[in-house]
Amino acid sequence: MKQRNNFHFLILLVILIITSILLFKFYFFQEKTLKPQLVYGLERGGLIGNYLFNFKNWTDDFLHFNSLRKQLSELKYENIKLINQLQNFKETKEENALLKNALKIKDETGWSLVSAKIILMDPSGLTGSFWINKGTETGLKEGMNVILEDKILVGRLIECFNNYCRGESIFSPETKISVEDLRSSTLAIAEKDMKGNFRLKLVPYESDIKIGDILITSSENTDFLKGLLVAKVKKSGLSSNVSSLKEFILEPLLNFSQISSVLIISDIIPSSQ
Amino acid sequence: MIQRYLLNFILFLSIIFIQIYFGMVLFLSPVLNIALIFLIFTLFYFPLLYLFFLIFLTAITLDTLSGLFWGMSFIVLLISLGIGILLTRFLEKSHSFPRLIIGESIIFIYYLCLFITNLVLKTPYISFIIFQQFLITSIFYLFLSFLLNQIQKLKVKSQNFK
Repeated sequence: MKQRNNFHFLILLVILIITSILLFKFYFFQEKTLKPQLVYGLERGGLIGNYLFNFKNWTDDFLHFNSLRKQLSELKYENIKLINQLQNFKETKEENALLKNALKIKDETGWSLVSAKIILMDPSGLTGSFWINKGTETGLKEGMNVILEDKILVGRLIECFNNYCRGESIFSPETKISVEDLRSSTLAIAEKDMKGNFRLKLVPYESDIKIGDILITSSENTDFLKGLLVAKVKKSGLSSNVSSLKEFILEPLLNFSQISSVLIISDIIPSSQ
Repeated sequence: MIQRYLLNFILFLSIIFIQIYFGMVLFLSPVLNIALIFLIFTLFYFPLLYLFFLIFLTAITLDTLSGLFWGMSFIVLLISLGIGILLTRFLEKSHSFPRLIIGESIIFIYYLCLFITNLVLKTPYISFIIFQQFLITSIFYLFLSFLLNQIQKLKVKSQNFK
């Protein structure tokens, strides 16, 4: 009787192992089929999703009531400052012209742009991935840069299917962007710290970077095109390791609430250049 | 019997839907993992085959949308819930305290696996978010378990009263 039981147990174990192997095999070989199918299904159910998304925004606002109030008072203060700055309108106008010139507006760059909607984002909150509703059928390819209307860098495309593409935002793990100070043309590398904040690390003490400076992508990047807006310098501080070096905390210009549709630069793939 | 499964499956679909649209964040930030909590409760009330089916569906969703690498969620879910199943052999799963231990262990192992995977991938700041997610999820699970326990107690009381 005991032998028979053992025999049954062995058979069960073999069946379990074979099933597991088959399941793993199925799972890992069906990546190309499962991914676009699921994204298609979720996009169809997007109507309820939009309600949930709006409700999430509302709850976010509700939970961050204090920070919103703080932001409001900061904005009020900034408003007064701006009124004062209006006095220096001429100077601002000149600076604006310089910015426009340096950034080269869409028409001047000659890039061909494809607009797409962001339909899904990473639900685990770990990778900063996003999905757009256009794919290889509209000529999109892996490696293309994704930007916003005002040339703010969103990220780049990582994998493309017929009707969808998955992109990786600048908030993705291990993002390192070679940046250039728009005012002083100083080069530096923006990377993330332990908490996911952007920082300019190991900047020489004598380098000309000031709070409020705008950073754009430089030509040293392998993944991103030159001249895309990345971040604003928010704070400065001494590097903890080497006293002769400076560190800056950056404020990314990419704003989560802005992202519903994006533009893809479809004629240049930086990584293939 | 089928009704029970049907209800559970509808609840599962809505939870995955909420997880997708509520947890959708472009900024890397801690998100409550309600899908994992749901799977833990399914482990206590439903057979293993059904649980594996739900794990499979959850893993497809998370692996598709997260994209750290395909199969990561699948393996991590299998490991953590597999250990959870083993724990149910040693601990009595019909009482609230062992259930709490089993559930918390599953959450701990799930995030430990994610932590190790991310360390291997050399993304230390993600580890910090994983730690925050672990805290949020385990506290929420604790709260839910406590709530369910209280409801069950009230039910028993009202039945005794009748």
